[in-house]
Amino acid sequence: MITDIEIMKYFEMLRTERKINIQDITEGIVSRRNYSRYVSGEIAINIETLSKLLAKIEVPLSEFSFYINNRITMENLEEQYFHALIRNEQYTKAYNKYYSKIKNKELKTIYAKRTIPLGIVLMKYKLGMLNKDEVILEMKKIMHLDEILRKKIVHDDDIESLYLYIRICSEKEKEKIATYLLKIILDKEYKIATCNYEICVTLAYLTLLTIMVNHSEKSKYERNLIEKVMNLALEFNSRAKAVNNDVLLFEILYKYIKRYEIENKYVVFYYIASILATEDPDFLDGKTFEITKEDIELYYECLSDEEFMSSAMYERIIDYDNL
Amino acid sequence: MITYKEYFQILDELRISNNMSVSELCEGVMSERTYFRNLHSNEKIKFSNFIKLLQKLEIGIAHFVIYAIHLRGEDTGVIKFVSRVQTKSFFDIKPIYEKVLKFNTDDKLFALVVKAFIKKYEYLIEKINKDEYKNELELMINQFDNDSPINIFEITIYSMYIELENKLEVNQIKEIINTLINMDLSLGYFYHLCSLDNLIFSLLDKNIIEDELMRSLIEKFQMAVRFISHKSFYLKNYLYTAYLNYLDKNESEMRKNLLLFATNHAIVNGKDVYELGKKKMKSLFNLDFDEFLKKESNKAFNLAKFKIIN
Repeated sequence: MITDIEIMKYFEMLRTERKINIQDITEGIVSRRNYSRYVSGEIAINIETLSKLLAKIEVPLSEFSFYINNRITMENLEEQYFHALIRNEQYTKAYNKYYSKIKNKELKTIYAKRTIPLGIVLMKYKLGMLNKDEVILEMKKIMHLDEILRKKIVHDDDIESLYLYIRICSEKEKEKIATYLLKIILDKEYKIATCNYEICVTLAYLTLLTIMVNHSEKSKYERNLIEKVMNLALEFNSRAKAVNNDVLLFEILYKYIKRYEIENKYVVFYYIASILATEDPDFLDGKTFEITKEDIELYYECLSDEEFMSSAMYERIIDYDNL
Repeated sequence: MITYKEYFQILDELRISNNMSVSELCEGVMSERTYFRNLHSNEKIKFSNFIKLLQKLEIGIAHFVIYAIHLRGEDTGVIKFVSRVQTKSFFDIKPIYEKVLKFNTDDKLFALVVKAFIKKYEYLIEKINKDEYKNELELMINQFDNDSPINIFEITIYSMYIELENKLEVNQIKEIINTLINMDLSLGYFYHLCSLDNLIFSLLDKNIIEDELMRSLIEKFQMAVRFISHKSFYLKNYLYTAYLNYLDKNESEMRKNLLLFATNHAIVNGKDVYELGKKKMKSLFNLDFDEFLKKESNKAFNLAKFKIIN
């Protein structure tokens, strides 16, 4: 929870960075004495006064709101790093590097309510500190799935937590999540209001595709629907150009074309290229990607195709007429 | 742009869409009477109380602004436009460009930086020529209040000017770089990233600033890039990091980073931008892009991350 003192701390950071003295900033708005009382937290600043003070340093209130959010992120990077490792299934590293730094602190970032608490429980399960019954119980205390699935405006914490939750929940719950995510992607009544828009939308696609292609009942989701979602995901990623997640997306596509014996050398090329283009140890550690010698030949064939190499991102694999 | 006067009305819209009653929302924060009074005139509401109400709706302050700006149909398109111009990704830019042309703001410097990106785009698609673009940037720079830039928007415009044709004194360039390096990234983050990218990419092979200053600039870019997940910026980061490896005479790291640059570049960029990246690799490292990519890919297939099966 952000406090009055913190709000003014962030304002003071901007004021001092701009080298504006208190007399100049308060002139015509508020007495110097009251300003000091705002800074000390003795009295709470109202929106109107804050907006006027911000106008003096040429920062709109909306930009100040982002600034507060960015500062909170930067001041709590251990939360961000812990979550990134959990997202990438690097549980041991998350435990060794960041768990001790976050376990007894008040979580502050946009992932504080569900994603990080869920990540902690998931990590404990994966590292053998909780059994399956315990982890399911703990996760249900945090998630309240139906509450999320009722929302028409989703945030980072909702999507990121669903991405973690499907690693442990039942197939029935996964189906409910898939139905919801289809609405998020296809129904204009649903809105994605996220700070990390590109990552969140990509994760929504990944979560949905993971559920659809891995369902125990092979015909549960029609191929037309799966391929439509894949096409939308590719088109989105050609604009978002998200790092790391393209490997996960192409891993799904690659396995899909192999499973249905679909020939598509460009999917093979992008799958291999996305792996080569990724070095993040917090993403890759311990991961291996299986490819065949024929795939490598297809990769080189594409590398030698000058026209393909200078084409726009995913141009040869997006079906633009079916978006 | 939303004003503080609309904040409470937007909060009430969010309350309704979250199916929460006024009494549920207000509990422990303020009386329902105060809530309704604020709805008609929110001038005296405490900012911290406003944040508390948002938190009861499970909405962070940044999410609130994103909703207010981007999802209430008030999206100006500026950030989308700036991002596309910076990464030269134009295939869906036309409607965004049309929208941004109508953009208006009282913030003089913000208006100028948006205009600078509009002119850069028009120059890149050859709607205006280089001299016209240069004159526009000079007119903007002449409107700055200070000789030394202190605002990120001013620095961004300078960085575009330097990128186009460097007519500034070396000392002035150094002053701009030093100001940028010492600035807080949290405000106007994306413009920081654009400025750093413009300055590094255009000065990297020019011998205008000392290696140590270039190193500081690249290190700031490396830090900034951690907060974005966009391949266009990551691939630049690999290129710039390879340059630092080159300065440090660390060839194996340099080749590793160049392979990351080359594969990302091959995935992301097409046509002119693709050719420009290949030329940059040649001028900085004297390496042929296509040959390098084939040779280094071959080596990479032996790494642990691949399991080759028959």
